[in-house]
Amino acid sequence: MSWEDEERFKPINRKLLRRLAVFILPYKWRVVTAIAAWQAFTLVGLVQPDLMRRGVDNYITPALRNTLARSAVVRGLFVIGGLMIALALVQLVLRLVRIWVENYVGQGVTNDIRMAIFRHVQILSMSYFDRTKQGWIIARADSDLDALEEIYTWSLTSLSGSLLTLVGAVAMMLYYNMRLAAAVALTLPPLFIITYFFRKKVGEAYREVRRTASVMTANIAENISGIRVVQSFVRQDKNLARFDELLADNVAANVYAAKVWQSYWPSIGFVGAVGTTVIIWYGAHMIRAGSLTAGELIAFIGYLGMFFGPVNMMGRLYNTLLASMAAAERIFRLLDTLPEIIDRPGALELPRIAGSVVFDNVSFTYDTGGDGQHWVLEDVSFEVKPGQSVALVGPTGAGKTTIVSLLPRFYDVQKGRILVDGYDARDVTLESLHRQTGIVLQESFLFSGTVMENIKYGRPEATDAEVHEASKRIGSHDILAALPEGLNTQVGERGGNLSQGQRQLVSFTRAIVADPRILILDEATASIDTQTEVVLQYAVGKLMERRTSFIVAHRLSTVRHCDVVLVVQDGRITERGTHAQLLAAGGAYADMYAEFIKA
Amino acid sequence: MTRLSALIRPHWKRAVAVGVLLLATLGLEMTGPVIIAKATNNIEAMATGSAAARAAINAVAFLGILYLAVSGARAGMMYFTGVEQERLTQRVLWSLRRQLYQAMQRLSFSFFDRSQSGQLISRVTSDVQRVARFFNAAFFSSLEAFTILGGITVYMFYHSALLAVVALSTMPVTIAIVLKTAMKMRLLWRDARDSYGEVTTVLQENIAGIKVVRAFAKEKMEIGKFSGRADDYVGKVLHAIYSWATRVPVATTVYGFNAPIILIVGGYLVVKGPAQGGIELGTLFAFVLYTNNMAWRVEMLGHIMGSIATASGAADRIYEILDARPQVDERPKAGPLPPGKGRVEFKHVTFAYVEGKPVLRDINFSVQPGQFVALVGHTGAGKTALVSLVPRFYDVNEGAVAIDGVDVRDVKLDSLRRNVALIFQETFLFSATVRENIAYARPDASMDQIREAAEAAQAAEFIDTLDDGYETVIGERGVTLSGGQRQRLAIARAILADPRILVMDDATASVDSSTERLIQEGLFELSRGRTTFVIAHRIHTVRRADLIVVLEAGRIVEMGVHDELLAAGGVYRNIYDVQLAENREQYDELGRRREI
Repeated sequence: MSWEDEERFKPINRKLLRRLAVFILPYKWRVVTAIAAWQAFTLVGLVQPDLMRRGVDNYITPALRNTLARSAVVRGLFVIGGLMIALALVQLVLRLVRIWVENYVGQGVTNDIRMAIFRHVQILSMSYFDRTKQGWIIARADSDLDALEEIYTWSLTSLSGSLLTLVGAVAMMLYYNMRLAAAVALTLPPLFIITYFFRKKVGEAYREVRRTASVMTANIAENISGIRVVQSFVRQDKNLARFDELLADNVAANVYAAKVWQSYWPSIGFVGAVGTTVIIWYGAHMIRAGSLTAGELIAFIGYLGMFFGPVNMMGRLYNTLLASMAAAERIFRLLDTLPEIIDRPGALELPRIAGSVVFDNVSFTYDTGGDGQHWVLEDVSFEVKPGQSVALVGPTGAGKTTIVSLLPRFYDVQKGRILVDGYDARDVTLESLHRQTGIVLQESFLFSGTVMENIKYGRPEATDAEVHEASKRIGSHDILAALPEGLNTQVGERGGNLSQGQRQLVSFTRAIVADPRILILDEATASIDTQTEVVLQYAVGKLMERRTSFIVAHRLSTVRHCDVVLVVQDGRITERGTHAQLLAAGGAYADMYAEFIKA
Repeated sequence: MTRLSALIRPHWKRAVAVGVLLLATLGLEMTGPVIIAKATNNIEAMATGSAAARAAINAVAFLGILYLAVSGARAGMMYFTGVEQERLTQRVLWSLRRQLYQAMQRLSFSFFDRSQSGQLISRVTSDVQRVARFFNAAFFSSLEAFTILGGITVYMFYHSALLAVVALSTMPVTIAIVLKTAMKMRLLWRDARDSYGEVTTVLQENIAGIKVVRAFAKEKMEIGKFSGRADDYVGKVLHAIYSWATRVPVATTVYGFNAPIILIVGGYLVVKGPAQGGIELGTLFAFVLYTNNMAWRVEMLGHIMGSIATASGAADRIYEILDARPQVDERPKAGPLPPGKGRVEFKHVTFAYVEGKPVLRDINFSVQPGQFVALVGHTGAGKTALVSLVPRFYDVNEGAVAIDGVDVRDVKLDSLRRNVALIFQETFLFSATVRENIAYARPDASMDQIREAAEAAQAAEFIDTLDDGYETVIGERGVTLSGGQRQRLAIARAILADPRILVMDDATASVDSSTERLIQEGLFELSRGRTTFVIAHRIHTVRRADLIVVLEAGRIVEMGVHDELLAAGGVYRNIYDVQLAENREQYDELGRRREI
């Protein structure tokens, strides 16, 4: 997430450019329009110094030499002035066309990519989210897209305009005077070299600035979230000293970057001054020799001024391109990630199921690249009849959560198979399978919106009345209705202003409104205070009625009423039976239970 | 605004130096067109031949060298000015950030209870930057813009009032448009940014809640939601860009009209000749060059306006922190906590987080040195509030809390807190090595001491299995530890701190029973020989207590030891029944099994 560990610059890569270009195709005519508008704008711009020249050479100089009547001079100047104003208006229109079109394209393309990323995230497999940080994925649609947005917005138009400006300015100079033009054009190579050199340096310098800044921010963030620890262990002075060091680093990086950056414009300006001096000096000699006019000399200075914009623009474009290569590469890496779990060709729509579940010799490992030595689950077999409740117990890391994650096919098994109502989970569409499975997690996740919206998440077409009814049925209504604005209370990510117990009740109600055939409760009742627990236990009971349910639990109190208890140890089912049977058997379960009660 | 300048007053000497440098640079910039103008004036003479031409050529040659020298000097000055300006800005940032950091570390818990950490972070990162930018804009950009605009105006009027008036005629309109647009754009961009925030929220929630999305098969709905927000955002961005585009380019074009106007009027004046109140060709040329120099200074005014507007908001937010008086403040005569064994007294304590809503009322009890106190009660009964008063994270509203006979308000905060250690329900560890985390309270502790603490906390075993042992970096950028491991490190940290009084929350949710057993042993080790307050969730903890304090709605309703309270059949009995009903059942069952 912090970009410290991510490269900002990559060499320009043709293959990537080609892939990036594909996104422009739908907008090709607009891009052509923007380029045409900008080319026309540039051409008009090239005429301006020439008009100046005409003014000086055709009217002012003759007037000074008294070879032209004053009235003719004034008339001529008015014509030229009028022409300049007219051209400026034409330029304005062309500029507006360019801005409108190119921003439309830039935003459009970026949004297309944003949607492509989001769509792709929807089909990626759960294992991808296990190994990828949330911040990494978000940065693809955020900072990386920013880098691309710039490219898509102005790169093509500006590049074409810049080239035309440079070529045009040099051409006009050549047209006036070959030798002087050649002399002036000599300033171009140093301009490009300086620009290239500085852009590179500046890029590196600002990378260091951002690195030190992110270290500093991380320090503040940690200090704020750990403030209670900081204060209770009296670490303020030590922390301030550390922060001071980080600030010093950041300041040094900034000052260095300024040194690099502040030498760029002066250098460019100086090269320009050299060019101007050459024009005046050399030009003066030519004027004396009669091979150059005063107006041409003024136009020359005007055209020289046209060099800087394009050179700087190309430097900027180069940098943006470099920055976007790394960004594009990361975006494509995300888009190229193949979901491991997809519908098989010709996958069936799973009809409404009764809810029988069979694990048939299932072996599974998360480590798909490995040699299969480290099975998380090995040879797991069990059968659940429709409507039965199954408890999975065992030590941390034994594989309980893995078992219930295989059921909605968040992962695919490596050996054996899982049957739902006799269908192999891999032979049915994911959507039809998911629609009939409900999950309540330990950390109940709520979306921004009202409690009501959250409850309807699984079935948006449910009516408010249905929600109230369902909520009453599982006993959550009293507590949810007592929220500040009842069921219309706004909740944020992870439930913002609701207590953990309240959030859990919302997700229980959400599950019952969705009415899945198979329900999975993954440690859903852990870490809740005793008062809410009573309500939750009741809700759990209600939830499990009339559907197949799986409960993963550490607190063995919640599992006693289940039809089947499976004891999972080291990826195997070591004991199975009812609570009473297992207790009587005096095995691992009985030991765990004894330990649990003592705690 | 005055307060804003107070933030930067300490740096005024450097600021004046930068101002002088800047003025010198601008002076050099303005001589450029004058030199070129003089050179141009000679051009006509050169074409005439004869002796006058010779002199003219010499003059041009000299002016060329002069121009080059001035440009070189200007380039050098620009560099120094720019670097010094940055150095100054960075110093201001540095001292502002330092002050904020210091202020935040001093602030009381009540402040952090109310604040969102993201917002606090942005005060130190972006808000100070806004203030620094304002500082630059208010002083240097304004100085630059007004010097250039003023200087050029003077030059123009000196040479030709008529030409000056026409050359500057397009300026007021341009400035008006630029300033107005700068203000309007701020609002439009804010709109767009807010809308972008919603786009990101959908994505972020989608990923964070991916299991929920999948489990309910709501991918299509999510795509629809995202697409809606994204379209909304694009609409707002384009609206902002288009609003800008229809104003600023128009303003630039209007400003650009001065070139033809100068050509017409100036051309006429040149033809008239300086003798008849006209101007020289070179002067006309200088006018053209100067109007270019002015053009982007006008745009600069827009930026200045923008940064002034954002800075005042940023300054308010900075002052909110700098001004916030720590509610828990050290008394002038506060001294260190005198030695003692850890006797704690609550004397008729009433306390409220929010004025008028007391969460503790008339709490009155005392704890003997080394006693183990269990606090029992429902969520919201005031257990956490009560223990937070011991290390004085908050101040009581009425009554007093005393340790070994001394009111905690008469003790220096650092001395008090060094004597009280806390184990929180949510363990916070820093991104640092295991060793540094354990030694957090005592950075000078020896490796042996650290190891000893880790062993006492039952943490040594798992630490040894880590790749780099005690030097393993944990936290965001390092190894991820399990909840139980984190808790044991926190216990080791507290053991090493060696406090007189210990406060802890015994919630060890979501760890399995054997890990829980290890944690319990660690806690037990830690509490030995110290006065200990425990927010109790488990029968196991409560049974051990020397004193059980039962809280209900902020009052102590019962006090005593387990058997007494159970026998009394009051609130404790009730809680015991609800909380432990199942446990008891389990006991019975287990008992039966053992009997069989």
